[in-house]
Formats: sequence, C-alpha cells, structure tokens
Amino acid sequence: MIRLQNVTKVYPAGARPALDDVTFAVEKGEFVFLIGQSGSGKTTVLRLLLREEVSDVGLVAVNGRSLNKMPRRKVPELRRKIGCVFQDFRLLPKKTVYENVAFALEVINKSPKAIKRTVPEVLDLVGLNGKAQRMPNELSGGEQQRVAIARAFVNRPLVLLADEPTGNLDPDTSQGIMSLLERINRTGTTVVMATHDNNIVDAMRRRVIELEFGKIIRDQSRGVYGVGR
Amino acid sequence: MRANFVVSGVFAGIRRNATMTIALVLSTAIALGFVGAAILANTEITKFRQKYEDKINVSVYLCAQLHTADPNCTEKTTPEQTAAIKQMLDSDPLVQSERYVSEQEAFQRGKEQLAGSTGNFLHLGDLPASFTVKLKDLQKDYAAFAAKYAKVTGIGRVNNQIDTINTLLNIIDSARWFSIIIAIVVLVASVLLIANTIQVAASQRKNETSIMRLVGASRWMTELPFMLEAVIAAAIGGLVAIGLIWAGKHYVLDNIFEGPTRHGVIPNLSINDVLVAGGSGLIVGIVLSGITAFLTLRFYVRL
Repeated sequence: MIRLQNVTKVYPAGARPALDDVTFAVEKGEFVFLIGQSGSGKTTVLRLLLREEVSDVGLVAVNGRSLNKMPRRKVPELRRKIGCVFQDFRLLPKKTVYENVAFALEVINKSPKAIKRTVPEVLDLVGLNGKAQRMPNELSGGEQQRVAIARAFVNRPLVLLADEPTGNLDPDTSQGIMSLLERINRTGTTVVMATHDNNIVDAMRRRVIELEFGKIIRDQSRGVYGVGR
Repeated sequence: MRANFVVSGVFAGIRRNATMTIALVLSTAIALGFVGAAILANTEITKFRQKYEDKINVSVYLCAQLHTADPNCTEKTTPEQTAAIKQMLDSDPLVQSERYVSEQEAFQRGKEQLAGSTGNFLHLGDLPASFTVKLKDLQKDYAAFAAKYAKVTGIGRVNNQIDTINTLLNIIDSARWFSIIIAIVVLVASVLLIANTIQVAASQRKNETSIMRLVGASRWMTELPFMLEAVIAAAIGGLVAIGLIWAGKHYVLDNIFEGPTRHGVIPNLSINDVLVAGGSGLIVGIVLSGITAFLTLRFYVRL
C-alpha cells in the first residue's frame, strides 16, 4: 500500500537531510507507528505520502502509484484515498460537527444524498451521533479529535495518516482515540501514526518504525516505544 | 461541481470581506464608467462624422473687389475666368458636383447671417462669388484638390468647412483620450485591488482551503469561490458604471448641449448607445477581473 525506497529529502534551509536513505513498505490493512524525537523525520514521511513534498532521491509510492512524478492535477485524486488527522484537529470553527464532516464530501462533489447518508454513519462510528449540531468550541478535545477522524474517514480512504493525534489529549481520552483508530484499521484501512506517546505504543504492540536524524534505526513488528534501541 | 456549495462559499466570502468588496465595486465602477465614457465619445465622433461628412462642401472663392490686396487676387475675377473655372471643375474627376454662388447671393446670405445693424455695413461686392463644390471623397481628395485650385488665376482661396467641424471633433477626441487615460489608471488600481482582496481573502480562509486540499478538492474547486467573488464585484461595479454613464449623459451632457442636440447640430446619443458603451465596460470588467483573479491565484497565493 505504501512504499518508500531509498528516500532522501533535504529542505532548502536544512543543514542535514530530513530523511536520509529511508526504505520501508507498509502492507494493506497494517497499523504502523512512526516514532522518534522531534525533527527525526516523522512528519516529513507523512508529507511525502500526502504529496505535500516530493523526495529529492528515491521512490515514494501509494497504492501502487509513484508520487515522485505525479502531475499536480492528479494530486487531489491521490488525497481522496488518504485521510489525515492532526494534533491540532483543524476543524472549521464556524461549522457544526455535521458540517465539518460533510465539508470533506462537498468539496469533492459528492451528491447531497450521499452526504446525508454517509455523515450520520461516520458520526455514529466515532460516537458523536448526538452531537451533530454542536459547534467545535462546545466540544472537549477528545470529541474534537473524533470529529477530525470522522472527517478523515468519511470518504473511506485506503490510508489514514495521523500526526500526533493524541498530542493534545489526556491519557484516558487518548485511549479512546486509539480504540477508534483501531476500529478504523479493522475495516481494512491502513493506518500510519506518528507519535511521541510511549504508553500508547507500548499498549498497542503494533509495528514500530523508529527514526533518528532522518534515518530508520528500528523497524520492529509488535514493537514497543523504548525497547530494542 | 456543487453549485450551491460554491455559491454559498462566494457569498460567505463577500460578507466576510464586505468593506474590501465595496471598495472593489466602487473602484471598478469608476474605472468602467470611464471605459464607457471613452466608448461613448467614440460613438459620438463616429456619428458626428457620418452626419456631416456628406454635407460638407468645399468652397472655391473667387476674387472680389475687396480682395485685390491678396497676392492671388490682383484683380477681380473676370466672367471669362469664372467660366474657365466652372469648366475645369465640371471636367475634374474628383468633383461630384458644383454650384455657382454669385456675389449677389453671397451678399444676401451675408446680410441674413449678420442680421441687425452689422449687416448694414455689408455692401454688394464685399463678399466674393464662389463655387460650392462637392467632392467624391472629401477626406481623401481635399488636400490635392485645394493645392490644385489655389494656384488657378481668379481663385482667391479654397476653403473646407470640415476645419470648423474638426475643431469640435478634436474637443470630443480630447475628452475620449482623457477618459481612456483615466480608465487605464483606475483599471490598474482596480486590478491591484482585486489581487489584494484575493490575497486577504485567501489568508482569511487558509484553514478552510488547507482542509479542502487535504481531502482532495480539485484546484478549481478551491479557487473558483475566490474568482467568482472578484468577478461578481466587478459585475456589480459594471452595473453601477452603466448607471453612472446614464446619469452623466442625462444630467450633464443633455443639459449642456440641450440646444445644439435639439436642433440636430450635435448628434444625440440614445439610451441604446449608453447601454452598448456600459455593456462593453461590463464585459471588460468581468473578463479583466477573471483574468486577474486567475493569475493572482496561480502566482501569488498558495491555496
């Protein structure tokens, strides 16, 4: 589903590569943690997969398609297959929960009928069915992140990328978010999650790819946060 | 593309940027008002030419007694010279027709034009006899005609009434150029204002457009609301401009030139002319704002 082959990425202002000869592959339906300190290259991996950046060297492919030479007009099509969740939720403050989720479908020209059917389903999945008409500022952090996950998943993407999704949440709420991501993963969606949260990584026992200064220093199935380094 | 979604986005954007949109509407209205005024001045010039060109004749003045100081007129034109000139005119391929105006007729006309006591100072023989000549192509052939006949013995001078009309046309032409220059200056201001408005709107909606991009909205879907905002503002400006042009014609021009237009001296501009000029301005506004918005989004804003 995802393949990085000898990928190197250098930002213009960077003294060293953000990613340095990185190679890994993620199969369909896998759940992978990307861990490492700030600046280790986790977010760069996610940005390459979203085609926000292009690698300088090496191959980046999603769902069998190389992103390196993908023309700009094809990028929206790629992104419809990838859902994204961020630490800061990125909800639209003047839209209700329902509207925030529906927005992701409206802008890709889904029919109103499909929107009316799909949005309540996904709100049900994330446990927010009763709060469809609430505004984001009326929700807790965990609930806001659930809305963000609903928005990322409403178009049934093949891959869900999560960049520190529990970074702003307390441990109990984080646990709830992880359960939700696990449920989404069980539907066959590949999940790649960048995180610093050792408790979560240790509890989930999923594949762990650890980055340090842009290089992979560990790629371990059923790994934990701190062991094996 | 969901029209409702785009339209609601456009109006939300206009509401959010109300003051800038109003500024844009006003500057576009003024710019397009001048574009319309330039077009209208052009229409007036064309009408003026059409009205007068076929009526404008060339006068070939013979020598009267008074003109003997003129180097061309050392003596009064003799009847033989007059007959020779008439024959020359009749056989000239440039000439369509000619008519002889005798000293008597010139004197009568002069007295009518200088009605009152001034006319009493005019005597028979003061004004020369002349030929009123209609050329086949006045614009093209006048210079050659004038040069040829000015040298003929017995002819005092060759005069073309278009000179008088050209003075009027020059005034209108100056007004047209003034309008064009003002229109260009204000259009440049409007274009810059459109570019700025879009940049401000894009930065206000960065959150929204970044989400749109992430969930796979096409570039058109992301950019269209911004372009439509600019085009709608320009279209409203264009409609206001039509109102301004109409008001300018109705309250200013029609008042100043009420007499000459009523007597048919100056051709009147119809409401149709106003609509054509204003409509052309409107189209210019829409096209220009669309192009400006498109280029701004492509080169200055990263959505």
